[in-house]
Amino acid sequence: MSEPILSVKNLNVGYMSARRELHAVRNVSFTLGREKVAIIGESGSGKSTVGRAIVQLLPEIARISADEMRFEGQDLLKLSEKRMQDIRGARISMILQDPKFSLNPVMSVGEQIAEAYLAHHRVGKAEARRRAIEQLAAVKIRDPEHVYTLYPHEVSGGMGQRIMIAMMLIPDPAMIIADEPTSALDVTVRLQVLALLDDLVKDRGIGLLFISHDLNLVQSFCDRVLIMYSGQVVEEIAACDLKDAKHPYTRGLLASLPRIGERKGRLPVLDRQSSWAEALERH
Amino acid sequence: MSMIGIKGLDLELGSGLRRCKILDGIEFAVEDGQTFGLVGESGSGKSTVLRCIAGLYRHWHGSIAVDGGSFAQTPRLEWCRKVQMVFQDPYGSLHPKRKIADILAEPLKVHKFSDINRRIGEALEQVGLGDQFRYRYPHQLSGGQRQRVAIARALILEPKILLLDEPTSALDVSIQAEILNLFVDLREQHKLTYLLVSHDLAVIDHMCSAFAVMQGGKIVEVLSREALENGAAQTEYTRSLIKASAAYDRDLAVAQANS
Repeated sequence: MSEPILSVKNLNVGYMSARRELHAVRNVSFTLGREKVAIIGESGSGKSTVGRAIVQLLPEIARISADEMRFEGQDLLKLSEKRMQDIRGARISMILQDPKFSLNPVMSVGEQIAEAYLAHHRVGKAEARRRAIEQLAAVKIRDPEHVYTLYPHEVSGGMGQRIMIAMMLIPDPAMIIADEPTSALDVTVRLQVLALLDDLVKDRGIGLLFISHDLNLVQSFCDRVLIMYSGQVVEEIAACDLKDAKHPYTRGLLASLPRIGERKGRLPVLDRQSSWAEALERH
Repeated sequence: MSMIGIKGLDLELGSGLRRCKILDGIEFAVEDGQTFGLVGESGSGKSTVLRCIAGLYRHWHGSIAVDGGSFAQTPRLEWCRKVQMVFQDPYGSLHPKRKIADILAEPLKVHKFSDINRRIGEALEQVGLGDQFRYRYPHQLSGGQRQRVAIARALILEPKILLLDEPTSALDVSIQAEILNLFVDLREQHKLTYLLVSHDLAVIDHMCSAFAVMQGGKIVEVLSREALENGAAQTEYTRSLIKASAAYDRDLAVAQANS
């Protein structure tokens, strides 16, 4: 495999408060090439925190440290805030869960996309508008010129998520962090959004970090899966081998999913072991 | 006699030019002790059916009957005692400034039950929460615990029917398994009848003996669990819905985008 786009070694995130320190992410290491890598875990496992730590969008009380967080040859943790601003959005973008809350309600969606382009390029407004419409067409929105003028409340959930993706893509990033991009969508719409992300990885060679709690989806969509429990990666496995996962936590999660045609009566419930949360060896 | 019988249910919302038919000729029946599912995309009207049965919409046409009594002829309080609802979002459905005991006491006071204290204790125990939860506020509880409180609030009036509107879609899979098990246990203990709305066909298959597929306010088809498992869906729409929910399938996505 070629040089990875992002390589993270022993990432730690801690929240300091007056009373105690919460170690939210512990020694997480992974690399991301031109592929789809998933981070799976329950709420509170630290999966979203990893995504936000990469772009350094955590509250100020968070302490981020890592042996290495190398993106396109530069160490992200050593960059000044100003340099980070250039990378955030332009080279690494983020797609969030719910387009309803992530778009500006009092600005037309087209203007918001054009704004994302203007933030990173010195061009005129007309040029930004042309690029925004082009981008809307690229995410397979029919009649992009009409959609450009719509406000967020006038578009459906699936279209909103495509608009978000258009906005993320317009500066031409090398890597996308998608934090539960499809949990708010219907199954059929979800399929469309995933196909779009799939094409981006294939055609543009973008690296996709896909944060999700949906094991079924990740199994069929991603290339590799990292499973997180209480801030640590407890297992890393190829997505196609997920059903042969070894860690009892992963196996427990898989077993607790209902499946069509498998009448269980009662579903097996996760029996959490305190040993899963114990610190793993550093690599 | 079916536990829930719905015939020719129509509902329109809005006025003038923006008047829009939300439900169109919905008909189905659920037998006592059965669990019946409703699936479909958002906007297909599946939650609206539940809201009509719960009495949250009252200007529909057609007939809704539960336990032999029709909606029109049953006094409101008596109807509500039989039919209770659990909502999707456990973060939004509990009053943030009331303690759990007060949340659970409210329906009891409305329905003039005696022995409120004992009933609250029993309801908490039934959903697997300890007595110490009485004095907590919703924000001190996890998503799964809140959903248990919402279930306890629905059960406290000893209803015959629970309307479940995506009760586990806001929860993690491990917590979903616990809540689904709880529903199965409660169904046996209290001889409950469930009407379950979900977009997850695996959950529907796990819980329901039969389900209706909805699209644009109409029922496209009613399928038994066996038909789902054997792939015996009749309409193209249902087949694509089943396929789309099973796994990511690039060819299907392309086919849908072009259609």
